[in-house]
Amino acid sequence: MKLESNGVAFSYPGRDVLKDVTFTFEGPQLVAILGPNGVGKSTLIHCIDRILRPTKGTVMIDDRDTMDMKMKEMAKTVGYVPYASSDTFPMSVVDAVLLGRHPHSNWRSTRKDVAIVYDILKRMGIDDLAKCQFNELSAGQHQKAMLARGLVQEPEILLLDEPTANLDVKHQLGVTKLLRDLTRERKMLTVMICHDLNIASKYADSIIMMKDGTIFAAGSAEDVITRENIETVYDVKCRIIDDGGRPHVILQDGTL
Amino acid sequence: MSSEEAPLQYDTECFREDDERVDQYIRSTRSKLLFILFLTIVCIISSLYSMTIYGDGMSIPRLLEVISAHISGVEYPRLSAEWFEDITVWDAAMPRLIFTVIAGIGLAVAGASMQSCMNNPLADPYTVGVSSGACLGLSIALLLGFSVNNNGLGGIIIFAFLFSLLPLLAIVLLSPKTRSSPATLILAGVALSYLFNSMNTIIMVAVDAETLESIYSWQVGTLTQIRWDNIPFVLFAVGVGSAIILSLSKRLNLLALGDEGASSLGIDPDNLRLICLTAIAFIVGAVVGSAGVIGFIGLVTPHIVRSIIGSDNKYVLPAASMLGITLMAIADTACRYLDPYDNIPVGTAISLIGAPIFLYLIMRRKSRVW
Repeated sequence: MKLESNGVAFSYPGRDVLKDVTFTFEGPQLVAILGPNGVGKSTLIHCIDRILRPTKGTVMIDDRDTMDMKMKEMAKTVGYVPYASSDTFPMSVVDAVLLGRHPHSNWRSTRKDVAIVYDILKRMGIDDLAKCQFNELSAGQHQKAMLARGLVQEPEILLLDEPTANLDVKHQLGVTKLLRDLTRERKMLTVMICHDLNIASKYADSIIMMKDGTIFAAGSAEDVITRENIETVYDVKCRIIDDGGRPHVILQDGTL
Repeated sequence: MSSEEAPLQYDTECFREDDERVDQYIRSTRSKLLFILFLTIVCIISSLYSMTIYGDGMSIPRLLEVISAHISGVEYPRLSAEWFEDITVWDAAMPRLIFTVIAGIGLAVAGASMQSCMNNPLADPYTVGVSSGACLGLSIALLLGFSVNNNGLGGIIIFAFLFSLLPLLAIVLLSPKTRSSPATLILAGVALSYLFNSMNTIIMVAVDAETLESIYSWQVGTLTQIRWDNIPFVLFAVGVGSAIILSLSKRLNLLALGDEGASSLGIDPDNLRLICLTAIAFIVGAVVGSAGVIGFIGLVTPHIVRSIIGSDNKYVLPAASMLGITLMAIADTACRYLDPYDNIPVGTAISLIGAPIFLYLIMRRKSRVW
């Protein structure tokens, strides 16, 4: 599949959030979006998933404008896992994940839907939690359950807003590695917003670095994770070392 | 990429027909249906029992006999004992029972769907100002000279109904193209409630004692004035409204994911909310117009049901409906048991019975549910 953003811009009244974002990604890969807070990463993801309508430019999936796609078609093609999900009402993990099957299922959830849910829970190593209450899970389990919901949607493109936020280092590594593996296994295009430069560098196939509502640098980890880029975009001093062929960032004291 | 060459590969174990885990899940679904069946039986028994109170302790078999005799067209000599029995059951108890059933369903469905719509456990059918609108409509009707005792009843219902739709109209008009988030809607509803209540109070200060009493009894919810004439309209409004909401129950589930999550699964949360709010206003307007503000059922029944069978609206809506009928019937029975002259408003009894039960359920639970 191919995901294209052609000059996408988005403004709230009186404030431009995105300016001329253009990129093309093709084939199964894990893409990380980096950038400081408030740079428009979430807005970009919302524009891709049509939750927000770009004020300018178009988002194309396999050379089709997403604005021309039907809602259900869109839901089958693009999955989105938000930064946080509310769990106002009691629901078991199976039922919570089963909601992700909505674009595919009819009035009754078929056996197949339930089977797919259990399979993904197993793949993520949380099938023993299937009957637990969704809102009683730990942060790591909760995050995995939300990912599971995105995956049972069987999207070709999966968008994730900070899937590793609130996780300890072990779970950060575990979840990101799982994402990379699932991306290959299921031949998806996975786009995730990430705040950890080293996690992105270690696992992402491509990286977009954003600054001031537009793309500052894009490419492989070596191309993007450089001392100059990080100092310009994040305004912090750092040093880059080589870690098995991937750049590793060591942040240093003091601003520029 | 076309769908034929779908890139997704699943483990082969996925589609096994005899999957134990799937069977287990299906079984848990069946137990939910059994729970609904159980509630239905409880609700039938409590409804029939509530009718026996009318006939001076008439037994349930005798009650069914009288009803079936009436349906098959048996005529009794005027002023005979059977004739009185028939009148009591058919003209007094029946419409009231039928209204109890309709209102129980309507209020529970409205409550459950309102909570899902707003993604807020504190929401109830009156959240967006529907009840205060209806009360204001009622007061205005009385002020204009419609009377509860004679043929003015229809006028009062229409006024209360129309005014209960006002908050919704305001929401639709005030938020063109703006994203009407649940929080905005709730705040707008609270503001409108205050506005309507103050106007209502001004009217209450101005009217005479008798009208004041009518307004008051409407504000707490009463079934005394329910006659056959009330039934068709309420039946229609609640029937249509509930059917609409029930058909949207799967989509309503998705609102629990938040608006962004829901729209990424292919639904338009703003549209869905508007459709549901319209249906809710229809239901609640009709019920409140006929019997006044009966609180608590819409808030409590969905919560009690959810704590037992989870939050899938497909099951919550019917289960809460049955529980709503039961609660209405029990409260109505209690009212007439305590005061044969029927002066205790049913709304009061519902709160009196429902609140302790609800408190107990909240306190008893060890795990966090809400």
